[in-house]
Parts: sequence; C-alpha cells; structure tokens
Amino acid sequence: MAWDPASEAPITGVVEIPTNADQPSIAEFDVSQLDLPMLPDVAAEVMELCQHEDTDAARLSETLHRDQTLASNVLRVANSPLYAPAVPIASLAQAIGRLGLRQVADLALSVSLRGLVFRDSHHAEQLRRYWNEALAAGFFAKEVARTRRSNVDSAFLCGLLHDIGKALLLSNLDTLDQTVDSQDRSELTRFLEDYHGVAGRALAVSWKLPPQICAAIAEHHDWNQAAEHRQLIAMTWLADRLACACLEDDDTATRDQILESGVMEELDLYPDDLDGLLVRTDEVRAMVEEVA
Amino acid sequence: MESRVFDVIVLGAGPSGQQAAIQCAAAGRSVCIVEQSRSLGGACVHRGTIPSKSLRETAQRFSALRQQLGDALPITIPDDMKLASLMHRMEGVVEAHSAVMNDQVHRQGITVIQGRASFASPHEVEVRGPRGSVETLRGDSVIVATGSRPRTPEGIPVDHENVLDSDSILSMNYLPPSLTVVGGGIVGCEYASIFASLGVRVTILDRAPRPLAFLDPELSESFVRRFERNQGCVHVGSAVVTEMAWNGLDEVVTRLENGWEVRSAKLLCAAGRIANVDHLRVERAGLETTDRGYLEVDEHCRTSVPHIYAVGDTIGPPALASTGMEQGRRAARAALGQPIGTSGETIPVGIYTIPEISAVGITEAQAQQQGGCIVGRARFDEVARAQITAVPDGFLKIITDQNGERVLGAHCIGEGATEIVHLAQTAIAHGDSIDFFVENIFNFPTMAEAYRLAALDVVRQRDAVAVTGR
Repeated sequence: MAWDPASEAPITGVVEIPTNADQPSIAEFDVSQLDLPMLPDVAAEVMELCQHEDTDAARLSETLHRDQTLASNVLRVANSPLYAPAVPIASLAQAIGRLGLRQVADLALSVSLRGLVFRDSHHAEQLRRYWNEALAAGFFAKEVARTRRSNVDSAFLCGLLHDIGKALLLSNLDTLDQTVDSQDRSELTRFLEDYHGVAGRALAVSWKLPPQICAAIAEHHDWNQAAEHRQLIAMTWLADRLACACLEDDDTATRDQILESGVMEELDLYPDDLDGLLVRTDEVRAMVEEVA
Repeated sequence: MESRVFDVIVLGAGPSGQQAAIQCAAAGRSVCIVEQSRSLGGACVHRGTIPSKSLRETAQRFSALRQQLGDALPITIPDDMKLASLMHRMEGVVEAHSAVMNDQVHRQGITVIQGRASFASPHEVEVRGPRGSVETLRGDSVIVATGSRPRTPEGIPVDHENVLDSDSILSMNYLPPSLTVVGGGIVGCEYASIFASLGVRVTILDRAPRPLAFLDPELSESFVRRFERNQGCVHVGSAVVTEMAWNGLDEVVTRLENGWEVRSAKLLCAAGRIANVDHLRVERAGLETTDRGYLEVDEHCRTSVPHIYAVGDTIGPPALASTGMEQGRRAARAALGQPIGTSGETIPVGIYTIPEISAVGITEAQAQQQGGCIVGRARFDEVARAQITAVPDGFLKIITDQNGERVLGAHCIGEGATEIVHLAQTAIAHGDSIDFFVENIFNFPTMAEAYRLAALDVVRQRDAVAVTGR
C-alpha cells in the first residue's frame, strides 16, 4: 500500500515510501515485522492522565507508585539542582506538590518511554543521543507553541516522540527482514532516516495517540508537504532543529538553516522570536542532563 | 537599495485592510499589503471569527439535538472527545476563505509582503521579514489596519497552557471538564456559551453587573437565563478578581474581592483586546496614540497626518469585522480623493453566543430619553419556524417612535437573530414605518414572521392609545 502519512488508520502491512532524492526508487518496508512495544500500564495511565484534564494529584501519585523505577526516577529529578528544592523531596506527593502535576506527568512519561524504547545495549550510545534530542525537542516544542500563542497541549508529546521511530528501528534491527549493515554507519543512518517516520507513526497509532501527534511523528521532516495539521508538524520540525542546535552547541548554523527553511513564514515567527528560543539552550541542556 | 514605491501601503490583511487594498487597487492604484502572517485574513479568519464559529456550529447542533430529543436519547459528548474533532470542518473552511481572499488580492495585482511593519518616516514603512531581511517601502498614502490581540491584564498569568486567551483556547486537545471565563464581553460570552453547550461547566466572572452591558438589558438577562440552564454554569456579575493562579496540581484558582473562590481546569481570559499599534513606531510618522492605545481618526478614518489612515480594531470600538470593512472602504475612498458616499450609520451588532444575539438602532432606554417609544415584542415560541426547528427560545423586540410608526431599533435573541436583524436595519435606514411588516407578506414558515408579530403588537398598542388618548 502507498504511504499516506495523513491517514489515521493503523499500518499493518508493507508500505511503499519514497526514499530520499539520491535513491529515487520506491523502497518497501514491512511494518508488521516491527516489535511494537506495548505501553506499560503505568505509562499508559500516565499518558491518559496527561491528556485528560480531569485528573488529580492523588491519582497520579497512586499510579506512579505502582512502578518503583519510574517513581524513583521522578523523585531523583525532583531533587535535582534543576528544580532546586529548598527541602529534600521524599515522596511522590511532595514531588507533585513541588513541581506540579503536569511537570511530574511529563517527567514520568519521559522516563518510562526511555526505559521502553530507548534502551538497547547494542546501540546504547546512539539511543542515548536520540533520547537527549527527544527531551530537548519536547521542551522546545512547548516553547514554540507558547511563542505562537498556541496551546501547548500537543506540542510536548510531538517534540518528545518525533523521532521515536529511530529508537524503535534500532531496537528491532536484528529481527528485520531488511539487511542493514549496522556497522556501516552511512547505510544505517540512511535506513533510519528513510523509515523512522513510518515506524514511529505505527507505534504512535498502536498507542492510540491523537491523530495530530501521529502526523507530526510521520511528517515532520517534510512539514511543507503536510496537508493537515501543518502548523503542528512545522512546529515539531522547528523543535527538532532547536534541540539539535542546543545539544550540538551550534546555534549559528542552525539559526541560519531555520531562517532559510521557510518554517518561519509558515509559523509567523520572526528572528527575534527565534532568538528568544535559542537563548534558552543552557536551560534545556541542564534539564536534559538531569532527566537523562 | 532603493525603496519600492506604492500609491497605497496597507498595513494588515484582516477584513478592513483587505477591503481598503482592494478598493484602491480596483481604482487603478499600485497597492502593497504588509502582513505579518503568511496567510491573509488576520485574527478574524485564523484565530477568532471563523474557527470559533466552526466550533459554535457543532455546539449549537448538539444543543438543538438535545432539545429535540429530550430524554428519549441523551446526547452527551465523550470525555475523550478531541476538540479538533468538533471543529473538523474548520481547516477546510479557513482554507476556502483564504483561497477566495488570495484570489481577490492577486487578481487586483496587489503586492503582498509578509513582514512586520513600522514607520520609518511619515511616508516610509520599514518591513522586517521572517528571515531577517529589512526593506523600506514608500507610499503616497498609508492605511493602518493592523488589528488587535487579546489583552492580558495584570495579575492574569496567561501561559497558553492552563490560563488561555482567545488565541489559544481553540488549540486545546480535549474539552476541559470546567472552565472559568474572565470577561463578560462578546468574546467571553461567545466562548462561555459554546463550551457550556458542549457540556463544560463554565463560570463567567464579569466586572459589570450583567454581561454584554452595552445591549438592551432584556437581551443580556435572557442570555444569562439561557446560559445558566446548562448544567453547572453560572454567571457571576460585579466580580472583581484579586488573585488567580494555576495551583501547580490540577486547577486554576481564582479569588474574588468578595472572598469567593472559583476553581476550574482551565481559565479563559477574555478581558478585551489591545490594538496592534505599539510596534508601529507611529511617532516617526508624526502620530500619537490615545490613552487606550488607539489611533484617532475623523469620519473618513483619516489621522492627524493627512495621508495616513487607520481602520478596524486600531481605532477602537465597535471593533467588528463588519464595521472594519466599511472603515476600510471609507479610508480607501478618502485616500483616492473620491466621495465617501452615505453608508454605515445603521450598523447591526451580531453576537454568536448560543443562542445568537443581534441588535440594530437605539435601545428602549435611549428611545425613552429621546421622547418616548412604543415597543413591540414577539416570542420565538409563537413563531412556527422556531417550533419546527426546535429552537423556540428567544424573542424579537422592535422599538418604534412614540407614535408607533417609524422603526428606530430592533433587539433579538435566538437562533437566526443575526440574519433577521437586517430586516430592521433596512427599515431604519429607509425610515420605514412599522406597518411595512404588517402589510407585506413574508414566506411561511420563516423566522422573519417574528417581525409581523412584533409589528402587530406595536399596532395594537398604537390603536389602544388612539382610542383612549393615553
């Protein structure tokens, strides 16, 4: 079946997707061979609490308590210099009170996702890098939305999950039908670039994420081709670029790339808005170090 | 680099700016629109009127369906219903509208530049592009149509996450279970009634004793009654907010001067709008803003600098798309040196609450002050069409002179109000007598029948005065 990134239907079979320009032939990728991890109950519940406003601290605390790894990571971050608590935080209830329910939910989601998808001993270094980019992109996505006076609800998830397909593909590399020489860096990179969109979308759909988030995961690298949810997808691309600038410490080149990309016109942003985002790179690096 | 020169430079591509630009271009002038957004239409198309009316359409249908079906089939919206799903046609509507505007603008040969404009001198406008470019344009005339943005009062921490404004309210993922609306004006009441109809528990906090205070009191009282019929919805008048903050957990907590505390999942700040004039560096053009940040203009929308005009939200109330378009036309005609023509003295107000509200002409109180009046009323439950469409809530109130003849005003609440008000507008503009609505035949069944009923009410009172002399 042809690749339709805008479709909300789960992808279950072989997908034909165009690869990049120097490989004009259509490649095939069978998503059914992917081992799509089930979202653990706790993470699923945390995500649901994230999405629904009808939630409360007690319920979130109770949910987090069921996963001790998750709970301990949340407490560790809550006690980190990043949040600088005056008094050590010893319980989840205190963490929720200090950081806020939304902040804790975001943290818990990030931590559980990391354990779920971003952990594979064979590709630890690469996965660690992808994870850091995911965290940074999540933060920047929220701030891009805020700068645009647009609700930040979806933005964090779009940023956090935008390249989750890469981690998924790496984790599944040994079981895929495709022969990819994981030692050949350029071949591996090309494979991940070509297929991470469809892989990430398959995962997002299986987790029943809202369609705009699935679309952002699938299409953010070709935001200017998006037919629906175009601005959220463009924001995700921008968040990705900002995250790279932050972690690679390469503001100037990224700034120029962003200005030339057309995304500024699309999002009605201007250089001073962009500079206002880039100036937060130190803050984001510190956050990534703590959570990662 | 030499400046590009135009006969007319229009700052802003909202309804008033577009109207001005098209008028000038149609008269053969070279015109440039500078717009900071990629898309034409302004806040009206992209953040306000069109998106909110798309959501309103869905909310109104739910409301009507509930009324029709009653207890036979309860209509509820699932907790996890995505807000975007309720506006599923919105993108299409916006795109269609944008396409029409783009077509009109380009057919007229209007140059459109995306950028942020500011005055460099009375005849020069500096434009900063999204990529950092800077260009100076020169215009014989300049029309300022930069619109407005939501006002953020001090003490209200709008973060577009838990505390929203009218720019961010519609990009929520899900319907909140509860919503506080700060502000009893048009925007606040529209959103309050829309979300109430969708099952959200809404509290309106209003500084004034009643919402939409500029309207005939019967209309705003009727709105409150209808609004509070929604479960968990309440209007709090004379409410002075002393403190408001996200509690860090799960609620926005708003404290009032009277000691009350209102808690909700989200809060919408709808406390007015401010003109987008502050970044224009108007002082370089020899202009000043008023205390409220507006530009002052004469009846031709001309500022104190003869070749600079200002229209729409930049000149203050009524700040409606309809009045803005007329102002754009006037400014264009004045800039072209053409006669303005007569128009626009009788401007209706249309408020897209659920149910709709509309008014034109003077109120009963104003008519009494001017020497007296006779008021005719028609309840919508007396109108066959309202019964058929299961939206019988509402009424029409017609104000005539003290002799019960000339139509001076009309005030209406109920579905279709914003359409049928135009009948009264026409009558007022032509100086028609109320007898027009009795002597002429309307289609049956239609909502326009309300005019006949209200007119007959006037005639009955007029005849009674004639008989009794009182």
